[in-house]
Amino acid sequence: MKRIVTLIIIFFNLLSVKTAQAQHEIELHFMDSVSQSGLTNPAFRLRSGKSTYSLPGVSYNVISPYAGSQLSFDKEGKRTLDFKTVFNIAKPVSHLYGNFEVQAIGLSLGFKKLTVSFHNSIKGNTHLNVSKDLIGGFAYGNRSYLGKTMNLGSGFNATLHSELGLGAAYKINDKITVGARIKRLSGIANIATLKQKVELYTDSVDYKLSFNTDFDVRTYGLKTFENFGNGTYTLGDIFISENGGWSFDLGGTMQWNKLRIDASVIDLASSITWVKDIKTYSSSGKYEYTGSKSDKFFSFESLGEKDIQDTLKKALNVQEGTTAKTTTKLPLKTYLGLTYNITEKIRLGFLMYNESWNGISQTDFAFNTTFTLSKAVQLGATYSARAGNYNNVGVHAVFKLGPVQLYGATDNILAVVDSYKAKSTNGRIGLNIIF
Amino acid sequence: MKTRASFLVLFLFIAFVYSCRLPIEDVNTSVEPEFALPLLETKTTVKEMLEGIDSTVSLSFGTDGQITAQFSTTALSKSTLDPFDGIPSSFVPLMDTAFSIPFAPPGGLKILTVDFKKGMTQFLVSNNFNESLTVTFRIPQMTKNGAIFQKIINLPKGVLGQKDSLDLTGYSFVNPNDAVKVQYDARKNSNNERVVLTNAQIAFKGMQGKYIKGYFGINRFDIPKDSLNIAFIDKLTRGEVRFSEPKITLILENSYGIPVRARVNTAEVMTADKKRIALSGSFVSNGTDLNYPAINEVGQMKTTQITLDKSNSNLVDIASSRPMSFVFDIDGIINPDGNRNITGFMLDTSSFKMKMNIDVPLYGTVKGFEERDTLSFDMPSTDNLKSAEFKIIADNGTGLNANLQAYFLDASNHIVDSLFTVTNQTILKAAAVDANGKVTTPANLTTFVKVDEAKILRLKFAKKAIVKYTFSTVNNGSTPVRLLSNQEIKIRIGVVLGTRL
Repeated sequence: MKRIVTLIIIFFNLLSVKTAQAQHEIELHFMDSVSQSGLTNPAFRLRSGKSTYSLPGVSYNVISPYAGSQLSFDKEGKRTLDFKTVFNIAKPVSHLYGNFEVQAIGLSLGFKKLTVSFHNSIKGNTHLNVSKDLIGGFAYGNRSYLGKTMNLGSGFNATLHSELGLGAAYKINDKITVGARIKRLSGIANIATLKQKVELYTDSVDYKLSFNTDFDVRTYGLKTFENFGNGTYTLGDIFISENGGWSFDLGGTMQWNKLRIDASVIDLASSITWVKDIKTYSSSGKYEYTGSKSDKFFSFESLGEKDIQDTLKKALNVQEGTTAKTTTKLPLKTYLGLTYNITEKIRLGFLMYNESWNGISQTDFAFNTTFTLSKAVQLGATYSARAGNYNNVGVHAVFKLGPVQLYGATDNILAVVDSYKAKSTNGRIGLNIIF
Repeated sequence: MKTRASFLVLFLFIAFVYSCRLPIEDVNTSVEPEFALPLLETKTTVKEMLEGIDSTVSLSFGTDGQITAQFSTTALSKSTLDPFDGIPSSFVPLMDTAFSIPFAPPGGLKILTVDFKKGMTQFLVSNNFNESLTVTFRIPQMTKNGAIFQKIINLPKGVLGQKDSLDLTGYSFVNPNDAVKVQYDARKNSNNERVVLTNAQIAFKGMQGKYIKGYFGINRFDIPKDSLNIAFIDKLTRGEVRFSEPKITLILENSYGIPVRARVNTAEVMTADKKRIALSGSFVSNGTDLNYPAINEVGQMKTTQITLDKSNSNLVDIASSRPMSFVFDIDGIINPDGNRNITGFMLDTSSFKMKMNIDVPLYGTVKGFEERDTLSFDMPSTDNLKSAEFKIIADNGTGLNANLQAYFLDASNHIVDSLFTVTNQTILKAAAVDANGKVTTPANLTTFVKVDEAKILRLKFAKKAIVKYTFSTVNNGSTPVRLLSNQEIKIRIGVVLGTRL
């Protein structure tokens, strides 16, 4: 129960999304002094042409339809999540999203016309569709639904995988640079709902529970459902997992004097085939739970000795099983950008970003200004219209102290100023050594 | 300047990173949902409730559903009367060639006819003559397949005390004059001259009749004293319980063709508190004459049924006195009036059998019937539990009220709390009944049991619970009700758990 509550807390505080898709970082695309910008286009090379060794860095991206300040209040100096408020403002279905990336290592070797890069990252992303009645269940319990039907069906899709990437960018001439990257994907764990219908009717007289279900939950790479988040994995599971797949990034840039056009597709033809520890949890039909069928009157032995969760699991008639190997895909991202160097220190940029997955497509637009204050300092600011949200102002900062490069970026500075008032927040920080 | 700018950016960077920290760890939750769950649903009929309650009792279920507790026992007696007692079994000298031997049992018995099942006639003769003799014994009263009893004995000369015998099995004997007339005819083999023996004796040994007709005097059949375990009734009679229609049925079977009167020596119950209460009534005082087969109904069994109930005994009082056992001692008296003109019979298979049935229909009044049970109790984990409200919904198809109370005791057997604040909380409301005690309208009662946080805290110390429930019939035990097999009690218990997550 606490784990579920914790998950809910995390998502309601930190996540927001208007669509059910992943959202890639916008600001990173404009950070051409950082080798990690190549993750948005394999043709990107450092302007200095130098080599970079990347120390571990992290990025996260969490989006919710509600700001933390809408859902919580101060109580004795601590933020307190108010489920009743959550319920009051919740939509029939709330779409929540979050992802994170930990880049363990990265190496970019710059030559005259060629840049070769290698990186390893662990990525996780989660989509969650939460029904309003499920929130009501947490806020009030089913007592407030006596004689009514609760639609508890909520979907989720969480994937944890790692990738080993080997890429190259080649400067064909002064105008054209092309790049490509091949990535070996290793699935660590996945949990997803294929069907998610769970209706609960609580009888107002005797509290009899009637379930109408049609759900299908599948887990991959997990010993058990309960293992999610608590799994123990070997290095082999993380880096060269049996749940393997491939992914490709392609990109190119074209430079005309001060104008540069860039285009890329990320995670092209990407897929992970899950073969290890595939489990299914399903229930379909109408089930009723009327309590223990004891034949003993007035006996306390029949009360409370059964664990309620086990009882409900039986009541839901959850069938556990397995199925054949399954392939899942990662979202395909497309970047189309323009940059114009007004001066050597000031650059304007435009980006059209599209992401599509499972037949759902979303396009964002962003305008950027980057200031290169010195060889040591670069600052940038970006306005973006993302998924119908038009008040996103992002910033990035890069500075260099000797060979050490520090960088940080966010697509929504409001979240940095006051994270509780933001519906979304993301960020990326890291260290590079340039040589 | 550039250095200062760099440090300014570095400061902003650190501030940015600090601001970007996830605030998860500082977040509490404020949620107190209440979950409604069904805990128990049980439905049972009165028949199911009573089955298996006691293996010593048999429950019968009438076509109308009436449940009756039944107890029964059977006693068998055979007559110890020996009509041949007194008939000489030693040798009797025959003083002449025709001689009568008395055949009259003592005690006023008179045997008219006997069909022998077994027995032996023995002869002892001597020959004082100088030649051999042929001796023919005859008993005209005894015949077998139409032939008169006859025994021929060859006596060589000079033989003294020669013995011989004849099996009586299958012979019929008529005895109009209480005497056996024995004749013998002894003749010399040389010239057929009839002679009188100096020594001729006869004896009858081991006689048993298969059929005896006559008058058997005033005698007694002794049926062994017995007792019947009726402790089950005690289980139903804690408190003030009064059964309205208890009944004892005595079924007496008699195949003796003789007038027999059943006489009660002892009929009493032993109560749970060690008291003896005697059964009273006309039968107990006077006994009753039993039916018996007439002289032309040989081999038939005649049945006499005696019923004791509230109309002719104090059974209602006895059945309501927490009886544990019923002790009885009944004899059968033959020819109780000593009428010698009644000719009867007995067979070797004749018997006197008594079967006693005690029927206690579950129909009556109950007041203060109490049952207790001690259960181990261990409060489940209540980390997130703030309160609990149990809802007990009882649909009652019987005429019984039920009250419940439970006391929770700690390891030192001190009461830490009780389930209800009142002594007895009604959780089962009696259904309405008609004049015959049959339910007309089932009753429904909903009871709430609230367990607040303080109570939960107290119950954490509880190690066991004494559960006490008491029953009474309609109108506080003043109206008789019937427990019928198909009457049903349905109990549903739900709970609303107030939690703090």
